[in-house]
Amino acid sequence: MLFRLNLSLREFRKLYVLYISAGIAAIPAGFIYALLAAKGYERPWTAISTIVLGFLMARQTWKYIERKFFDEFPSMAGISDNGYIVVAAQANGTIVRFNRRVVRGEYIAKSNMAAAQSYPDNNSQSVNESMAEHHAVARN
Amino acid sequence: MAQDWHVLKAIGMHTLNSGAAILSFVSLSCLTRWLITDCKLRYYLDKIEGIVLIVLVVIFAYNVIVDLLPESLRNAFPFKLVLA
Repeated sequence: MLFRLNLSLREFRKLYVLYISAGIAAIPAGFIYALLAAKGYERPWTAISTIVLGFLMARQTWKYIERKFFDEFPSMAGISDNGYIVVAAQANGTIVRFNRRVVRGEYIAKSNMAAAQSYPDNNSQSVNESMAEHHAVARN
Repeated sequence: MAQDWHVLKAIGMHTLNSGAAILSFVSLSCLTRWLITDCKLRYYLDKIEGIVLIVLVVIFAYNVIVDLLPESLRNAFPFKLVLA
């Protein structure tokens, strides 16, 4: 229970930081729009183009920070209440792509190997061995 | 069914966090507006705040629609129609 709470709080903090960083990344676009508006170009197309620019910058920042967050495996390591190892804790770089959320990772850990292999990113040999290790540890 | 609850929980987390981020930006903007008396700077601040809030809402919608809803569809259709 405590593990789940810690994990949830950590996820909550990371998601909040992601949203804040996305907002900060959109500030330059807002500044460009403010400059355009001050010069008399306050029109729908300038607003839409700066929103698109801000969205693209925010999305790239989101991706970058998300990758940074979910690459630090030691901080994610742990065993859940019911004895399963959280996949994100033991994953290599290949698994990260579909395990960006621990919610999804737990689902895969609780399901069988066939379900795990059904994910397109999950068909490599190392991933299969890793999943087999997870299940072996969980059984013990 | 359990996976649907996970998706719902994730959507709730996104809603909560995007709301918190929007509130943070609004409160920061209010504080800055209270400190700044120059009219031109306040005008700039208003425009920046507007764009930032819109971008945050768009990012939230993108996360929910593109990232989370396909997962719930995958759970609803076991034949991987969405993945195909």
